[in-house]
Amino acid sequence: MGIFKMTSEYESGDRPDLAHEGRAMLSLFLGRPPSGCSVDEYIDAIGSVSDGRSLSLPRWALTPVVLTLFQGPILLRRDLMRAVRRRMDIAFQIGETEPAPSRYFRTRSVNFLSAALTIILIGAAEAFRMVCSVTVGSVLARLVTSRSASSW
Amino acid sequence: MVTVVIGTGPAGVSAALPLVEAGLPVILVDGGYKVADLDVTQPYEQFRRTNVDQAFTFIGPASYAIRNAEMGGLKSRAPGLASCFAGFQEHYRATNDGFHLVGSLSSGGLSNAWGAGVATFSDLETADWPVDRGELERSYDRVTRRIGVHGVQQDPMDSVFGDMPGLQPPPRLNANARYILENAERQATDLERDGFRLGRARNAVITRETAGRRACNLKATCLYGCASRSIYAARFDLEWLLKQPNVTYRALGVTSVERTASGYQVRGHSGDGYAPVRIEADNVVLAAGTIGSTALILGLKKAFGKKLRLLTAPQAAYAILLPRRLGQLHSDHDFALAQLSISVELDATRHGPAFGNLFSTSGMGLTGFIHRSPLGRVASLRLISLLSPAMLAGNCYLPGETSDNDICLLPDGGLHLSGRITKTQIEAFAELKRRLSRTMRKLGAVLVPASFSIAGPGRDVHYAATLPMRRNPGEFETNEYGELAGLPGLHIVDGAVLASLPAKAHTLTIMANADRIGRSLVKKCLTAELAAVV
Repeated sequence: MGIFKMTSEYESGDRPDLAHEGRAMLSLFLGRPPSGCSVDEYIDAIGSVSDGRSLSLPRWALTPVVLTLFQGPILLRRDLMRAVRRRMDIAFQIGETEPAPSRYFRTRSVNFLSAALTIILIGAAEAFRMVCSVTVGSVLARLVTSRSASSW
Repeated sequence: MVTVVIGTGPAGVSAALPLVEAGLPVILVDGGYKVADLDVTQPYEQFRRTNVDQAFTFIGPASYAIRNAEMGGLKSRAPGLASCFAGFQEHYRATNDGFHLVGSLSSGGLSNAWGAGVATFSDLETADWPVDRGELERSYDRVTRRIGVHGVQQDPMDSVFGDMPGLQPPPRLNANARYILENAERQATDLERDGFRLGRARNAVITRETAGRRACNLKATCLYGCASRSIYAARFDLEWLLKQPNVTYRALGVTSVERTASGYQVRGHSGDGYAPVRIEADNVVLAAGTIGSTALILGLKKAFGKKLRLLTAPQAAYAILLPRRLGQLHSDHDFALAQLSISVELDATRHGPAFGNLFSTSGMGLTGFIHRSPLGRVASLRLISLLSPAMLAGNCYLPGETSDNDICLLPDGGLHLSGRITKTQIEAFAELKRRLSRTMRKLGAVLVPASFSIAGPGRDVHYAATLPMRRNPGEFETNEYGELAGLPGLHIVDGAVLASLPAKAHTLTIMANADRIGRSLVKKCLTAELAAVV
């Protein structure tokens, strides 16, 4: 029927795709390439909470910039969006177990004004991201959905 | 006279200790799951920044923490505590309707994952209990000294926690908690007038070295376990008990307790290969936890379909932000259990004040916060890593009388629990949120918008009062020694027999009550042995 269940030993040919997906998801949070251990952890985690298959997103979509747009507002098909978010949460949790330097750990204290300014910048960047999500992201989402519709 | 103690959690060891010390033969039984001490000796922040193998500690084998991501609290997804919760639902074949069930079959029971908060119940809170208050207070004293409690006596929370002898000095407060406490001390009169108390927390965590346990060294790993054994767990007392010549231990998943002509028969299956096992005893001390003990009693009385009321302390969580502390970093040395406690008189409930704790966010990580953020995940990460060191996490509980849950045994022998969030709870939490918001502003902090969330029924894990002690016990009620009518020699000593459940922590009271009942059983056994000799 064209549907193949992945074995627990990860013998499936899907593993490279899953590894690529894991690297992209983890880079999104770490701000740098993840370690091989974290990617393996991601593959194991996907295997333990689902059927262990990759999301079948096209390669160009598996970059931190595009994934940033897919964080929402809702752009992708609802079931695909839910799966992307769940995997982002898994990547977030695994990313936290990588030692510094990463975005999870601040190493220098800053004064109140710098902190307040940073919060404003985070807010502004988030607003910009949401605008981009709605405009550019919706076009990309259509491409992703048509590409992954047959396999997802 | 042989006594079998079912369960080796705080209640089980507290009841067993007087029996064993008196030289009486005791058989200890628990589900056999073992929880080890945490093997992380570095401070939490340092460990997370530097250790390359930390996924083993925080994710665990077979992606444990990720598979249990929906379970709620950090402890329920901490890989090191997995065996504390393992097998419980399956053993009792529990089904739930709106109730989040947590239980333990491990040696040491739920104390292996205990938040370690302690408080005594006041005269008023035990007014309806059939117990001798003097006896209960002596038991409080003994248990407090045995487990080691830190806190301060002269404090606005003193009247809430009650007198505790031999309090050890509390650990150093972190900068955020110190800032809140100092502001609260300056405005003590104002807060008191508002029915709001804030002071140092009391925890069963030692700050002075005792045999086999080291003083708390502020590593902030408390939510994952404790390498120095500073946080009390009943398995420490169990280790001593198992060395005594009059103690026998069996790892046994107890499935039933039955009355026989000469006493009681406890049946179950051993952990190794599920071989059926039968134990005969003159007395039974039931300390399998409120849920486990209730299930065994319902089975013993063949009360299928009978619904019993189960009290819980409805819980909410929130975060407060101290704007003045923005930009700071987490300290490497911190205490990750409750640093401060609060008590709030509410108009919405006449069953006593709400009670809560404030915690450092050190040792919590960022994953727990991310789901509550309305922003995208990346922006949330940047924001929370910046805000977290300037925050305190809080929880609060309502009195058990505001809860609405029940427990029953189904005809097929499975256990069914149901729970509902009531209108009273919603009103009480809404009032609490308003009061917290107002008071925290006075103290130089803000309640983080959207952080206040009500946990579903059962998530508080303060289960009690299914078989309450009464002066004139009716059906499914117990006398002052936790005995049900028609079942002499079977003593229930855990939370199931508490006759009321205030909002504050109830474990110390369960232990004191178990100690009291254990001592009464010693007298009974010694009298019976003397009579047999004569």
